[in-house]
Amino acid sequence: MLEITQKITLLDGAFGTLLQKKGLLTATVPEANNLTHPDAIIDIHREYIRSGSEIIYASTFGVNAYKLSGTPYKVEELIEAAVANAKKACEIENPAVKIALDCAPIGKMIKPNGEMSFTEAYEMFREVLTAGEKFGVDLVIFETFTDLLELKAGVLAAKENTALPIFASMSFEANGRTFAGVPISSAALTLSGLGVDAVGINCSLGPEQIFPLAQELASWTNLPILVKPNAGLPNLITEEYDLSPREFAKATAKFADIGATLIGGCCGTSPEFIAALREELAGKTPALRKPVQRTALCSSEQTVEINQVRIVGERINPTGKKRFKTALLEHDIAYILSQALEQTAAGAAILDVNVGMPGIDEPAMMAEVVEAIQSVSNAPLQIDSSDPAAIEAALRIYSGKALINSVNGEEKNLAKILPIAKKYGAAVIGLTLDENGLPQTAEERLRIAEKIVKRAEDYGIAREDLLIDCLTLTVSAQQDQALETLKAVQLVKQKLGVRTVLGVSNISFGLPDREIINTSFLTLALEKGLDLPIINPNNRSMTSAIEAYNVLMNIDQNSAHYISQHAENQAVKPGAAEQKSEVTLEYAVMNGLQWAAAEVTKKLLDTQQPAKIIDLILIPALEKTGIRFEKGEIFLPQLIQSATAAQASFEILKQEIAKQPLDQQTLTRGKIILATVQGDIHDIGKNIVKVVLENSGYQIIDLGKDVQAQKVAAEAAAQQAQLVGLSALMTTTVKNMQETIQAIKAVSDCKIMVGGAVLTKEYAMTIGADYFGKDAKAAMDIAKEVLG
Amino acid sequence: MLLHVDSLDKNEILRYLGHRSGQLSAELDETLERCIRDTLQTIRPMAITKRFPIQHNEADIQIIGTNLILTGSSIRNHLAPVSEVWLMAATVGPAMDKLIRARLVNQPDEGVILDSCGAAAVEAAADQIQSELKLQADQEQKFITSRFSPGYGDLPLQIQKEFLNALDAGRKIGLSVTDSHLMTPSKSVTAIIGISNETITGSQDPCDACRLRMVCELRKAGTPCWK
Repeated sequence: MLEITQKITLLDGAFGTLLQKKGLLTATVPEANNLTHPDAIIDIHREYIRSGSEIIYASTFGVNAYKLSGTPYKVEELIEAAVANAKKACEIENPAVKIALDCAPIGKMIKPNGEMSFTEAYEMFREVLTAGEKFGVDLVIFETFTDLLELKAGVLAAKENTALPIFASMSFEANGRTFAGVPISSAALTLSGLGVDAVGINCSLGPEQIFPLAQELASWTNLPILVKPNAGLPNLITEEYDLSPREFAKATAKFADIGATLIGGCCGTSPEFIAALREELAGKTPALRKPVQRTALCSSEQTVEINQVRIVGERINPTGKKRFKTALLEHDIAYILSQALEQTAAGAAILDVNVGMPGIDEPAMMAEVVEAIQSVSNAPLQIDSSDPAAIEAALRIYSGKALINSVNGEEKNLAKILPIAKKYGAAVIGLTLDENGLPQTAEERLRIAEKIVKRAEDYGIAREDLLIDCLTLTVSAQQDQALETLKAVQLVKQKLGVRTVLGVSNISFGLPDREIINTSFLTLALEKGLDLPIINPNNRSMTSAIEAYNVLMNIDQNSAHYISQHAENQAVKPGAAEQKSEVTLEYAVMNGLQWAAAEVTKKLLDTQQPAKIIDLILIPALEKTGIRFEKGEIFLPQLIQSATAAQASFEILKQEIAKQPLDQQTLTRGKIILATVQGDIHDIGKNIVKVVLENSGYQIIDLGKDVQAQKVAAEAAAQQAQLVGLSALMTTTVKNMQETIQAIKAVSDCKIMVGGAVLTKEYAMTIGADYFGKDAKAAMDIAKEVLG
Repeated sequence: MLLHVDSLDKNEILRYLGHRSGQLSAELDETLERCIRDTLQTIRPMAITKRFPIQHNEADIQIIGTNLILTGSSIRNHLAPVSEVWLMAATVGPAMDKLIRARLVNQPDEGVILDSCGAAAVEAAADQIQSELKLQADQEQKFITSRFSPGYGDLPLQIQKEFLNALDAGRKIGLSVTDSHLMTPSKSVTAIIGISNETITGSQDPCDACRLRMVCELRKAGTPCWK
């Protein structure tokens, strides 16, 4: 094992820079020098050891299956050679020196920024890590990472397959974010939660630019801090770095003053730099760091500290929502995403995600929804489930630090959920109930909260990562309980020093004018110390109560936020009121008037059946719009606006239809499967076709982008779809389109339409498609021909 | 290096969107303006360039000092008069992709407009780099060719990975390719610019230099406007 002590450990410096000097960097795989020029590699290691490096990095930076694909080299042989070379150097110079397995990003982006799946990244890291451990490295250092989820895949691969200590280091730009947009706080929270042994910053910048970033890092973690700056900034023309060894060493030695304990150099540095650094650090002890105790959650791009009231949006939840249930059953992820975005726009800082309902594979659905939400939203997520498998599925692919909703005081429940929270570094909500049910007094609830906090601490979960929900009961049923809940919030906060959570709206169930009760209860609870109200953020009186509270408590300085939210209140939908009385649904659709389309539809429903509205008004209006698009009278954004207005009308109709018994809900014109073929991640064309078809009344099963041929075929067969639409943007993926068509034809006799920038009608026929949809209008016509 | 793109060409965006003629409605114009503002606030344009000597072989062109080999007649034609090139890569960063994805969910009309704004933004970044390179060439009394990107003519897209390796673009500006040779972030451009001692003459396919190339219906139909 590696001992991390309160002293400075000197790391090594650049490797590539030295290989370059020896003329060895031009090799296709620089790490192949471990085999072809072992003496050169050993020499570099020896020079670093002689200049004072106590941990050297084996020359394995870019070794992984992706970077080696198409080369004659294997991951294991290069790692074996690299570790052997490092060991040789240590044997000759100083056997006490430790060897790190150096692990860089895979080289292609993980989803959603790229197309690599979490599992693919995990497997590639696993291969590298198990080889490293097998050949005898002392630890692994992940460095130069810019994507938090990719780094998480690496860390989990290390934790689950090796016993190696883990150092994790990311590269930040001067604005304090990585290329992928990860701020230092998110990196620190996530990596600390995952239980790595040190976190750090390397590359990109020189010591002076990294210094404030490292200070920020120290304010978010209690872990040892690692820094490896470049030798200053590069000259754009000569590409030489601008610091001399002495200048570098002086600037880098300052990291000891903020308590960093693992210090070395990155690009542009050499043994000379490390030797100078050793001199500058001689006799220095790292400053003692202040312990960090912050309750905070994060996504990969945004940190939300619970140091003031933060709204948790409750809308992603099927309970009591027919429309949401339908969306889950029909796999309508877009609807769920629209709920996510609507809530953050309305002021939710955190989003609760619950997809539990009968007939759903909850773990799979949870993972899919979480992945989809984090591809469009920056809000941290609260994973709401009673199924440990669903919680784990979500936490595994979550990029950031999430909040689990929830555990309770039952021993069995604690034993199941807390280890998952610990492993993935999530914060946890504890409900104050246990085997004996929900206690009636505040004091008893406090006792359960104490027990939960104690158990969590036994599992190594810090108190700041525990939040307590004292449970809201319905005041119309148990009137004395509202006071007990409020008292419990206050007690828990005072005695345990933890943050508190409450689902608010349950209080008013069964009473008229629920909003009045809800808002009043919320205000009382805030005053008692409620930190996270779980509410519907679209309800203005609830969010307004919080905004007002922040003014009165002197939190919203100069009432700035309050004013920004309330000054323009009257300016909603100008002109819309007079429009709605005159406008027809056809006019609203053809002119893309979304709001008017919804309003007119509501009125029409007084006199007409949904099916009639679709057949007699919506479809003809969309068809007319399609013709205008074809003639060039309107262009793409206008076509989309019309489709969106039709969608607003359909939403109203769907709500109406959802009220009817399930067996009568068959108003769609038929099922169409859409997918962008494997290898293609550009799905804007497919999405446009989807918007238009969906709003023409078809049920769309959207398989997304980069979809394997077999998956499309399996869905076509399982769903008994009559039409499948495939999209490919690139010449390189057209061959996958052909394979997909063959796979579908093997299992289904549905019709297939294809589209995409590089396709022509002739080509579409050559590869076996039934139709060529050159644009969204053409797709509409084809759907009409096939499905009616 | 970090670039500053502080305005976008509205007409160019409209062309990308397939707008043929006529006045935009006031609402649509406002939407477009809003999308441009959102784009400018979201992008973080970065670029990297590097100069290399090249070697003309019988069947291909080798970029000396890298593992990059350019094949096909289009690029040989394009670089016929030159012995040196700049490789360049520019990106507006992944935040733009996320903004487009998110907007497509709730406001798909703005989503498609933002998609074109992103394309216009990375073109603007590439233009900026190109004019800087032109200035440098002017100082040396040399001449540069137009930009030529992998995927143009018969220069295969498959070279993207080596192209980015040659620039260390993953580490320098966060740019990588997928297994199907597409760049991530998606609003990115790679290009080769030839450096010559003589004025550039000869037949360079006009489509190669045209920024409407990827969306041009005429070119797709095999009847480009210049034929």
